[in-house]
Amino acid sequence: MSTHAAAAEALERRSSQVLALTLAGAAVSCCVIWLGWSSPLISHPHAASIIRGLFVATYVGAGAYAWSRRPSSQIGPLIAGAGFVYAFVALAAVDAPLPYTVGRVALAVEVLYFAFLFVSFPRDRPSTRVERPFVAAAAGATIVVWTVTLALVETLPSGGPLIDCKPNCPSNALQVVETPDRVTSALGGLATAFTLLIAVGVITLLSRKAASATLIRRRVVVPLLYVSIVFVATFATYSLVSQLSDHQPSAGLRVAGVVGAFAVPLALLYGQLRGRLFAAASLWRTMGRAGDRPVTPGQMEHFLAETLGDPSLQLLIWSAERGAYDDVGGQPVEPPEPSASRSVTRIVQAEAPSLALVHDAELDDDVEAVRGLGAAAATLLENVTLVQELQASRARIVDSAEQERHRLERDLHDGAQQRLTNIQLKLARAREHVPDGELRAELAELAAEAATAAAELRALAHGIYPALLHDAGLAPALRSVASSATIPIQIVDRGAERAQAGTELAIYFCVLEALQNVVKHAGPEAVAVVTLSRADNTIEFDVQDDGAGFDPAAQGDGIGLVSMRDRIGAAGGTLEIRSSPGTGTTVRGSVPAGDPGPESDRAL
Amino acid sequence: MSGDGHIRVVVGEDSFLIREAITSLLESTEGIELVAACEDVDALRETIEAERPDVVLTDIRMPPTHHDEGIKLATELRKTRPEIGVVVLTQHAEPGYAALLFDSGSEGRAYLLKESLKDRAELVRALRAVAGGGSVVDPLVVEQLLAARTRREDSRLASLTRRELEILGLIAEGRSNAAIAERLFVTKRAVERHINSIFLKLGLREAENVSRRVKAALLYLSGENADGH
Repeated sequence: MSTHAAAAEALERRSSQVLALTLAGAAVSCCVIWLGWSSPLISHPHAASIIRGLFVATYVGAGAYAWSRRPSSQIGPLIAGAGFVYAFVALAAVDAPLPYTVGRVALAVEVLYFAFLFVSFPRDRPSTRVERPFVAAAAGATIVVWTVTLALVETLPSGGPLIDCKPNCPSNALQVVETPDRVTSALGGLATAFTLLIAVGVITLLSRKAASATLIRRRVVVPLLYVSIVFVATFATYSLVSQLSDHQPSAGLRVAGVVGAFAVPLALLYGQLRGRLFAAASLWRTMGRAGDRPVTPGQMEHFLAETLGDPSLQLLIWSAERGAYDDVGGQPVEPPEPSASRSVTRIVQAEAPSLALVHDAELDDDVEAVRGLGAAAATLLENVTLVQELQASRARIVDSAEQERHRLERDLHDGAQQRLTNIQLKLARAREHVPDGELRAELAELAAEAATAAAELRALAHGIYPALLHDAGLAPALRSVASSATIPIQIVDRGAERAQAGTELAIYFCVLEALQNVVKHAGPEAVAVVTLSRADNTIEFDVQDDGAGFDPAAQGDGIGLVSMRDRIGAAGGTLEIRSSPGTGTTVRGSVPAGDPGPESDRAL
Repeated sequence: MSGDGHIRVVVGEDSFLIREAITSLLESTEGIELVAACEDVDALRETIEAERPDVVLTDIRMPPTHHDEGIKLATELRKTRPEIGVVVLTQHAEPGYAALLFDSGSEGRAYLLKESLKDRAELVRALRAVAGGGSVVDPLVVEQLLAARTRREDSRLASLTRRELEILGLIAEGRSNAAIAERLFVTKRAVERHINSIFLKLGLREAENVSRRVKAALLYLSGENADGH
């Protein structure tokens, strides 16, 4: 089976899994609403139940969306899991000791779960040497504290804004030993303190991650950091207040807690979206910085390294000819075997290898961003290659056309023209030897005919390739044109100097076309000025007239403008035509000068 | 020029047909001595050094590069052998090439189309003119320039009378005042009057010798400033 078909099947399987997850989430949130709908333990049970149901739905929905966007990562199911764990927390709304106890314990699990999720994000499991022990320690401490608490206390510690039954909470169903109130209160404080400790640890780790992360990772993590600070702060304050007093915390605090809880999944999604946006924006900026110049593979490598925050990143480019990778300098190179520290991400386009990115293994966390950037880079580089190939092939066509014209003109000059001249000379000699009479008159007629043919052949050869252009360059060749023109034409040469034959030929014929337009359309009084100059390695030219002008929009490309553009474009140049009725016309262009060729081959 | 008034000529022409035609033409012409005929520019250069002819009659395009060897050679001789006249022969009725030839000075230089060789008198006139330090431009080239110029309505040439245009053309061909007077059946004084009027109308400064007049006329005709570059 082709990789394409396998990928399609995997995608289909994944989307049915995402659908199943979404349906399960909907069912569970209905259960949660039903559980609390008429609970005597909570105030405003209808509203609160709907909020709880929405809470489950939000996490499961966000998880399903993340899963569909990042199928290779378990972060989606992990986010959805927080919603399902909360379904158990909702049991605390049942006015009976056992479900209440299970719900309350589930809340402690939920706190641990959040710690795990937050610390891991944007990966799907804790990865650093600090993160793993932290999560393990939090889990261990939670188990110890809650085992002791469950065994000893009659009233479980307050459950924060999401379980809010005080002072009517059912008793602990799992109590083994009767203890005095002091123990209950002490253990409640301990449990709350542990929760706070975990919260502070999570925020610390998130801040650390945001500070040390790559540009792209920072953008993914920062929204979660801010939201979790708010969430944890309100949750902690709420727990403290409800632990230390017998009254329910204020409504404002409760609302803040609920909002914070809802904001978490949104921050997770937004962070990932932001990462992708940042990658796209970086790519856009790079293209902008490159301007009109094509992006080189070297620039692309630098850009990817900068954006992904991995200075050691290496870009390999697939060479279809060799069936292997080249580095950005065009040297053959083998991608290394993936190791604990180095990873290779291969970009495949249209079922063919395109690029490979060799990067720090830590970037595997952001594999979607790496792939996205890599695919965009591949497309961009491919465009550049296509444009360059097109330019090269157009240049080859121009060159071969130039050579062909040159050859034709030379064949005419060395062949037909010489023979015709010889005929003219022989005819003249013959006439000298023939006495006046009919034959002499016929010879004279023949000579006149031959002279006409010679003139026509000369014009033809000149039209095919102006020899003076090759021998003396643009300005003399155009002056020659001007001297035979029917309108006054001034040629101003501001140091254009010699250029590659194809360039000179393109400009010559373009100017000729423009001058023909002046003669045909500008009116009998028109005067034309042709200016030639050089800027760096570019020949710039313009043809200005003071004639009738035309409306470019109305005229379209009807008057030889297409062929002018084609000629100049094929030589790698650009052409601009400005005209409006009454103000005359300016044709302006610039063409890379190229290499004029050996001096010995040139005149004077 | 040799003592007996013969003009010694060396020919440079790579085309066998044309070389043969020129050779037989020159050999059958009174007052012209054909010294040698060369096939390429290097042989021509050596022959010139060895023979010191009065005039070199050369093609523009010749081996090795087939571009503008004849004009380069003329430029070279201007420095090394200023006394040698050069007539360049060409298939190009191209004023631009004539301008290139006269760029290094018009004295002793002529620009002739190959087909003008059919007129033996025209060739002899050109050879004699350059041997004497004069200049000649092929009548076909001048005609072409004048035809274009007179078609231009706002041209300063439009202010010239028919007769003045005719005289300007003859000046451009390198004819002397006396020759022009003879040809037009007018007095030499009348020709001088016309020429003064022409230069006045064209805004050209008074020019003394023939070659400067040719250059002025040619440069003006080929679209540059009369003052040169």
